[in-house]
Formats: sequence, C-alpha cells, structure tokens
Amino acid sequence: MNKSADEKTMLNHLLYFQFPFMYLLALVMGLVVYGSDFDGITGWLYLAPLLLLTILHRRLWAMRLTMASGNATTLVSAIGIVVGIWVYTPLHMNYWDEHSLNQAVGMAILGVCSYLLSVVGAVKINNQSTSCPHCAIAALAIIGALWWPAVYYPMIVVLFLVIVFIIAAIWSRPLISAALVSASAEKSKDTFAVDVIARYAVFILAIDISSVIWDFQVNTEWALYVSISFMAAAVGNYLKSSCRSGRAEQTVYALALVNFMIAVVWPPYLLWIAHAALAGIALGYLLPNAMSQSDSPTHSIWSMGWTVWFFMGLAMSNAWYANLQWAATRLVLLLPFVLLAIGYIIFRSAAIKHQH
Amino acid sequence: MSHRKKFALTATLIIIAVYWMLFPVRVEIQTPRLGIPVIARAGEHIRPVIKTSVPFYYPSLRWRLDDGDNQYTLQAGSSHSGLSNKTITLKLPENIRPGAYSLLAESGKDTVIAQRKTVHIIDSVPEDFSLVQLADLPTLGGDESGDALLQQIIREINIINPNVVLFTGDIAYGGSWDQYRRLTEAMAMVDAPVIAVAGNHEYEGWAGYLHYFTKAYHAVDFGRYKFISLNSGHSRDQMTQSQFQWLREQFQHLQGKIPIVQIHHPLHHKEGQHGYVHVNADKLVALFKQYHVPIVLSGHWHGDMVFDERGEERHDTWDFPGTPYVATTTAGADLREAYSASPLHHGYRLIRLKNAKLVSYTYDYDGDGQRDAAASIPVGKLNVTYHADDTVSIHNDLNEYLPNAKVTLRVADVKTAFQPTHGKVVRHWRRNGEQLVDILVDLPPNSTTTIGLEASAQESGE
Repeated sequence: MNKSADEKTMLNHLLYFQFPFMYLLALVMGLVVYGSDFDGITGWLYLAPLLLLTILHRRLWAMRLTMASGNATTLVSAIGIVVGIWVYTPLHMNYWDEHSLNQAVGMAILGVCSYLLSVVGAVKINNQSTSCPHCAIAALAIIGALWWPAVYYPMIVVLFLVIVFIIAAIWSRPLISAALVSASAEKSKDTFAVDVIARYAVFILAIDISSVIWDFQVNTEWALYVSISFMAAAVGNYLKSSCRSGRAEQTVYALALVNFMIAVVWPPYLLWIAHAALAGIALGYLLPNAMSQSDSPTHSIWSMGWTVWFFMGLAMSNAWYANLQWAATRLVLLLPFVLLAIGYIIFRSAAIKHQH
Repeated sequence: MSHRKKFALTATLIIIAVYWMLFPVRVEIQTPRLGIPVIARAGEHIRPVIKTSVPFYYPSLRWRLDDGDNQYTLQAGSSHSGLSNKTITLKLPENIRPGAYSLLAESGKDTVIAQRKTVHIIDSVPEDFSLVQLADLPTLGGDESGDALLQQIIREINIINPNVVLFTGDIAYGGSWDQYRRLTEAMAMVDAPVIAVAGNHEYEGWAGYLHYFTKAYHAVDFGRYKFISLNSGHSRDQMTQSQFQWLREQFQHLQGKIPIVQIHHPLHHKEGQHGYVHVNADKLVALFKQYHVPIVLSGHWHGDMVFDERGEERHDTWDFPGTPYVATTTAGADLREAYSASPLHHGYRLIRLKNAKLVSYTYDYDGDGQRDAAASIPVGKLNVTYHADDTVSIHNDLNEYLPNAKVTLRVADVKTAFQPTHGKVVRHWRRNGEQLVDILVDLPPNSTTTIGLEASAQESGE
C-alpha cells in the first residue's frame, strides 16, 4: 500500500469519529447515568476541556498541520493511551464515581487527546485526493461493534479508545503536503445551507439515539441499542455512497423525522431496536452532508460543527428526559423542517405557476 | 518500520493494555445482596448471579452458606452464562436451619467473595405477616448521632420481629462511600431480610449505592408475597418507560403472588405539594388497582400521609376500600409539618397482613384506642434493659400490642435445662463462644415485661 492509499484507510475516519461517537457519548453517559458533581470541582473538570477547546478552536485549527504530523499524533496518542489505562482500570467491574478527582482529571485529559486526534482525522480525511466512502462505513461499523460490550462493562468504550489510540500511534502517517489541504479548503462553500440542515438533523438524531440511554440508565441494555444505531449508521453511509438522488435524501429526512416523532408521541419501547436502526441509518446517510465543511478555514468555528450539534443533542436529550412531563415539547424541534417543507411547497407551486 | 513489525507492536501494546486493565480476574456476586436478598425454604434452589472481570471466563467456585455458627456447602447445578454474567443454580440443603446466612463463593485457596446476610432460610410464610418500612434515614457519620439513632431504630425493629424490613430510599444522605459502609453495617444488624431501594439522595453518590446494592429496581419473592421495589429517584421524581415495562412484566408473571410495592416518591399529592411521581403515575395507579396491590409504601416527604387510589388524602380512617398509598415519616432527617398529617416525629411504619389481606398500617398516636388515619410508629418508645442477673426488661411504651416480639438472652449455665419466665424459646445459637436463645413474647401496649431463664424439670438437650 502506498502513502496516498494509506491515507485513505479507515483509520482516519475512526480517528475522526472516536471523539463524538466514543468519547463524548461515553462522557455524557457517565455523567448522566452514573452521576456528576457540579457542586464540587469534579463536575466542572469534565466540561472545562470541552469549553476550552471550543474557545481555542481557531488557534488549534491553525496548528492542524503540525498536529497532523506523525510525531505530534504519536505523542498525543501516547498520552491518551497512558491516561486511558489510568482512567479505565478502576472503572472496570466498578462504577463511575462522580466524586473521584482522579477520574475527572483523567477523563479531561483523555478528552483533549481524543479531540486532537479527531482533528487530525478530519484534516487527513479532507486531504484525501480521492474519496473513500467505504472507509467511513467501516469506521461506523467498528464503533457500533465497540459499543456492544458496554452491555456488560458500561465504561469499556474508554478501553477501546485506548486501543484506537495505540493503532493511531503506530499506523498514523504524516500528511503528504499542505497543498492538498489548501485545495480542499475551498470545496463546497456553496452547500453551506444544506450542511446546516444536515447538522440540525444530526442534532435531532443525537436526541433520538441517546434517549434509550437515559431511559434504561444503569440497566445497560441501552448499549445494545446504541451499538445497533452505529452499525445501522454504517448501512446508512453505504446507502449514501451508492444512492445520491435528491429524492433519496428527502426520503431519509422524512424517515428520520417520522421516526423521531413516533418516539416522542408514543415512546416505542417495543420498537426500540427498529427505532435505533432507523435513526442510525439516517445518521449514517446524513453525516457526509454534515461533515462536508469540516476542513474549511472560513468556517473554522464550525469546522467540527456537527460534533457540537451532536453534543448539544445528547445534552438536550438528557434535559428532556430529566423532565419527562415536558417530553412532548420535543416536537417543537421539528418546526424548522415543517417550515422548510412549507417553504419548499410554496416555492414549487409559485415556480409552476410562473411556468404556466 | 515494516508492516510486520507494526502489526507485532500494535498487538503487543493492545495485549499489555487489555491485560493491565482486566486482570487479575475478579469475581463479584451481583445478586443476592444485602438489600436484595434471597428468601427460600430448605431444599429449594437459589440462583445467584456472578460477574467476572474477564469476558467468557468463569473460575470454578465452591459455594457455602454461613450464619457465623453453622456452615453448609451448596451443590451447584445448572448454570446460564453470558459474556460476563453467570447465573448459577444452587440447591439448599434439606437440613439447613432457618436464619440469615452470608453467601460465600470460594475460588482457589483463599479467594472468598462474601455477601453478608443475603440468604434467608424460612420455615414457612406465616399467615400473620408483618413488615416494617422506614425511609429518609438519619445522616450517618459526622458526630455519629445519626448512627446512634439508626441503631436505636434497628434495635426496636429487631424486638418487633417483623418478617421483612423495607428501606424505601434516601438511605444515605450525602452519598459518600463511608456513609454506605456505615449503612450496610447497620443493615446487617437487622435480623429480618432487608429490602432496599434508592431515593433521590442516593443520586448524590450513585456509585456508592450501586457498589453495595447493584440494582436500581428489583423484585424479591417471599413465599406468597412479591416485594417490588421501584426507583423514582431518577432525575426529577419520575418513572422511565423501561422501568414501567419491567413492572408490567413483573405483574404479568405474579403466579398468584401478592405484590407489595415500595417507591421512594409518593404517587399522589395534595395541591401545592412537591416531590411526587410526575410521569406515569396514573398508569401506575391503574396497574396497582388491576393487580390488587394491598399497599404502596413511600417516603420522601418526611411526614405521614395516606391517600386512597383516587388520590384523596384520608383523614377520616385508615380502613377504606382499594389500595392505600402511604407516605411514611422520616426515620431521622428533618421533619416537615406541611407534609405530615400526624404529629411530627421520627419513626417507621409497621404493617400487618393476615392471609394476604391488609390488617393494619397506622398507629394510635394519641392513645384514644383507635388507629390514626396516617400515623407511623414513633422512635424511642421501645427499649430493652439487660440486667446483671441475666434477665431482660422490655419497655413497650407504644400504644400498640406487639405479638411475637423477640428478645435474645444469654444462657448462663448451658448444662442446666431451662425455660423462659415469659414467652417461648424459638432458637438456640452461639456468638463469640456465648450460648444465646431467642425468645418470642407478646408485649401489651404501655407495658414492661421482664424475662429470665429459670431451671426446668427436663434435662437440657443442648
């Protein structure tokens, strides 16, 4: 395998996705299901790095080529490996301890490493001279498989993060050249509106996919549904790469929204597997749209934008679940899509009238 | 570096990382636990669930029951294995004596995984069944006044001698691991099986709660009764869909058992009151009506209140048709007048059933000869004084007749046959080399009963 082919490997997608789909999801799950102590310092320690990274994102983005160099990746991975082992060892066969300072510091450092490696993954994906749709499919399927053992050991995703970091440290290659990055930076600016809609859909889907966690809580059956969602996301991603018609995209949006609506109106306990799978397919299908601006300096604050939307979805979802009596108000989130659809219909009928 | 070397390095590092985290092999008994006990008869099967730190690996275990005096080896039967969980079927010996046992699992030479007082062997389920319920316990640790109060409550409960004791949430305020350690030490002093469930304060130290009790909600069978413990402490006092579905399945598979429900937050409330089950409460009430639940027990309000199934607060009588929804005062936390229909007091509730029918669950607080509509039993009115002459006085200052109260006496001379001056001996046992006997005695209201052992005409069989 030559260098440029090597860059296309699934590893970059795995590196990219591990931050939102493994670290962030595990963090929010831990904080919500097993507890958070925001009266003390520990609760804030979990969130401080995320806030800091958001503030420093523009600077970090400017340093992305340095970060994507082999040595920097190896160093960050090595720190992540050591800290990940330190964090996970006491968590195995035990419970997330909201009062533990060691755990909070460890998870905070792990979060920074996870984020930086995710940026490296994003840069390398965008630096690819040719597309590699199947790489994302494989990465999503692997993440789905890695969530499954959480049924038995709920925080085991931290261990799998360590394994991803080991692979990254040894197999990650430096970027070919900065030229490709600059070239790719200019792509798809004109699709900004489409991407915003896709990110909003990711926000909705994050609410949908994570609801099962807040419902099951310490009954770790939720891991099965999360696993199914990400495996289904691989299927959705495959469908996206093989079927690019506009009608298919509209169908997926409609499917995602109806699926969400059903879950709100009638919490589909008995349909959760089907529900998780449908939400996952929609996520996998819409991800490429949501990701398409991920290497644009002009949108650098949004460069990991869909990740922020995904995180907000997790947080909002939990906020709703903490107030189940207001659960139905989640339907308000569908309003932008309804307005969009009405606008589209009006525009279409006006266009038809104009033709006549 | 060549691909082959990279593969070798990757594999080596992954193996080291995984080994470091998962080994040495650890085994835990997930259930039964103190708070989620097994209650069974001699000769029956029990099914503990173990969890191992290494997937698919289950060490060979030797199982024993130990009550500190006697040990019994258990024969392991069939087992059902998951990735990290294994359910093992164990047969209880036919000759095992009734009492509370610790479950021990031995692996290799010196690994003993013990869960204290988790297996309770019973002769039979009496027609006259009694249970004590307490909630919102005193804060443990600190100046230890809370510890002292809890020990007083447990002494009283042991005298009352109920068939089962329910801890209905907010059992460890503050949620430190030290509080849970102190709590479980105290719980282990209760003679009867203890069934515990979480309240909202358990979420202040959820890891500690799960470490000791492992489950957020559960069901425990006790002969013809099924004790269902629900978790309403989740976030904002509510019940999730998955738990509701689990509950429905429990009811669908009752197999003739009588369900008794404990849930920390009350289901009904008065106008202006806070802290009740917001979501799915109506569905729960309908379900409890459908399956004829005799009583639903709650805490949380730090006051006594009783509602009927229509959600009306009852001031007139405790004896009304349908399921009573009962909130019991705090055992040791701050008292709240706005949430109490009885005079403010720390206390616990004594519930009696006869042939599965509810007989009583309130207390005659004012001593007018009639049970109040909501009152629970106040703490501190049931005491024992041990005398130097090996006699014991039980002071029952309650307006409550206590049949089959239990007291333990030391046997001074084991060679001489004896009989109690009041009541009957139900158990001989040893502790720290001392010979002890448990005596059952009926205690009239507002009475002092002094019991001793006197020589009997018969030869001692001990």
